[in-house]
Amino acid sequence: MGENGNYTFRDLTAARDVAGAAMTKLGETSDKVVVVNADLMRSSRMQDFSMRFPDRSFNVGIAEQQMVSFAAGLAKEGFMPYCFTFGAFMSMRACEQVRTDVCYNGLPVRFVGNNAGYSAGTMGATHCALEDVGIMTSMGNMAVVEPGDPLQMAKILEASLMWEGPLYIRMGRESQTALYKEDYKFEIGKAIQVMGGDDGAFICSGAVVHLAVEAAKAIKKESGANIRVIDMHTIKPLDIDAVLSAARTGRLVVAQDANIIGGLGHLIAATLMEAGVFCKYKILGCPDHYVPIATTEYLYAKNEYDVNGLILNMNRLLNK
Amino acid sequence: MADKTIVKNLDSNALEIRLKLLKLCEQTLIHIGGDLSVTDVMTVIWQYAMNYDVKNPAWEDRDRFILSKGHASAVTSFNQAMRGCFSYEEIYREYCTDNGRFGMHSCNLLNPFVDVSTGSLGHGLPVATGLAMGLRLKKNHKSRVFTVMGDGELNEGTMWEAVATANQYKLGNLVGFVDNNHMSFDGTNKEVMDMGNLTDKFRLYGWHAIEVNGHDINDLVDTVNQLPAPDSLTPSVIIANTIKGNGVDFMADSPAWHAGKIDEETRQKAEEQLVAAFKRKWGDS
Repeated sequence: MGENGNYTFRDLTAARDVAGAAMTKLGETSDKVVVVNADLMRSSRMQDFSMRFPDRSFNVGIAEQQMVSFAAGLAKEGFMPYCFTFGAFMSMRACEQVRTDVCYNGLPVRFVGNNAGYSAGTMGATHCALEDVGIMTSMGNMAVVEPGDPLQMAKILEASLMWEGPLYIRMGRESQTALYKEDYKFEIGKAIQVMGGDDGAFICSGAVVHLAVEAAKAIKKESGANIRVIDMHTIKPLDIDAVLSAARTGRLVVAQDANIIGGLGHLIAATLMEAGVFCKYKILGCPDHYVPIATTEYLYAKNEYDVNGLILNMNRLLNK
Repeated sequence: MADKTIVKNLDSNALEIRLKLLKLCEQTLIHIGGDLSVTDVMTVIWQYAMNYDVKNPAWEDRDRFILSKGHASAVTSFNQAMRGCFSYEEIYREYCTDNGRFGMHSCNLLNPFVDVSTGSLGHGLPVATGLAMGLRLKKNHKSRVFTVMGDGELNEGTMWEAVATANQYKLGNLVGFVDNNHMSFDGTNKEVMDMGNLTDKFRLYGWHAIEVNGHDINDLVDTVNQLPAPDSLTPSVIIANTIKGNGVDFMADSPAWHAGKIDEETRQKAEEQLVAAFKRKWGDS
């Protein structure tokens, strides 16, 4: 941690820790910000917020559906509620509450879901948000974002203050260092080019962006090919210009720690089809079946969105 | 005892709303069974209890209303029309039409008098707890949140999550009404899912629970008059014992009339029964 308790790019940190500090700042910025927990307050790092703003911190117990409906009611009365639990529970246990009470009613509730994809592989599928991207992007009015590195969580939360509709923020459980060495402008819906390159492109979100940067560097070293890396932190609404520009390199590997069906890969593919832009294309992500308990490292490798897998898949497109 | 003139007027209002419902039921399919069972409760809420300004549905000091049993939308709309939110004609013209303001369930996309869109059961009371908490946070100690639930709806587990939350956060500004018509879509509660004594269940969760005859306007008015103040610490529920399809002999207590459409002759027969019952109670004057 650097001065003033801020995280720096050297710190190995988890998005949830950054969220904890960022929410306290949000609470200071606006007295409309309220937090609703469902007995994962400590895991979600909302202790500080709840101590600083006890009147604006709620815990409804192990009742995710109630958490979301309660937040909808608070939003209806003019507050800006942030709900915290694992992405699997947010998108599935409370699915209809998110859709009907919040999205249908057009209310500005923010949902923050931890344990994206197999970042919590050893907890088993019950605690892994595998389907959340497909589910949440299918809901009218909903925006879906995923920080490209842990520090971006603070940027997303800051930007969320001005976001009008409902917003789902998914985040991986694993700790990473910062991707960006310097401060930068962040905007929901505007992708960030992390590395330039015109021989192909990785479009990723979440923890996979980091791995893609490593992969692109390795490919450059091996073959001299220049591979672009896009941090597609906003999965919906998609930055179409960034997608089409990347597709013009002729080769896209789209990787995300979420089910390959209904995730970033399918959303980008549909965008390309509609635009009539074609390129060599590979989707990587969690397989469309359930897997035994395993470490995150093992599962990323097995499904080829670890550094080696990303290199392998980009090389296949380069050599096609 | 409630003022007799008030009770008679409300009874007359309830009759008028039942007649309007039957006319709509001749025009198109509506959830007539539940509409008729909750008519008296709804009339007391909208024509007596609710502090509301029809010219300003977003008025901060208004009482909030959530129709947890969202399929009782027609009886709610007619009550809102009686209150002056819009005309009866507008309901007949727009009910279940393209971009109409009124439908099989309450939808707020085109209707500013619906605070929260509902329809799927088990959502209204949970959202109502959030509204009640929001009022407390804003230090609004005048407004209440009224919500009308079905007894069948209390099969839904989410309702009990909300019941626990209301007690935990001491939401005494929340007032629930259960349209306890002892029936759901597939049959009687005894046959489908027997929830036992609802009044006891709410009390076990720390609520102030009152059981009344949901077709006795006098009792309903008395109960509303005796509600704890909005700044109290105990949420209230009124278990209103009702009859599905109340007032029309062939609809009463029949799962067949959860939703339906009637012809002109049937409507006239039903109207005669309702008017006769009113005259028996209040005389011809």
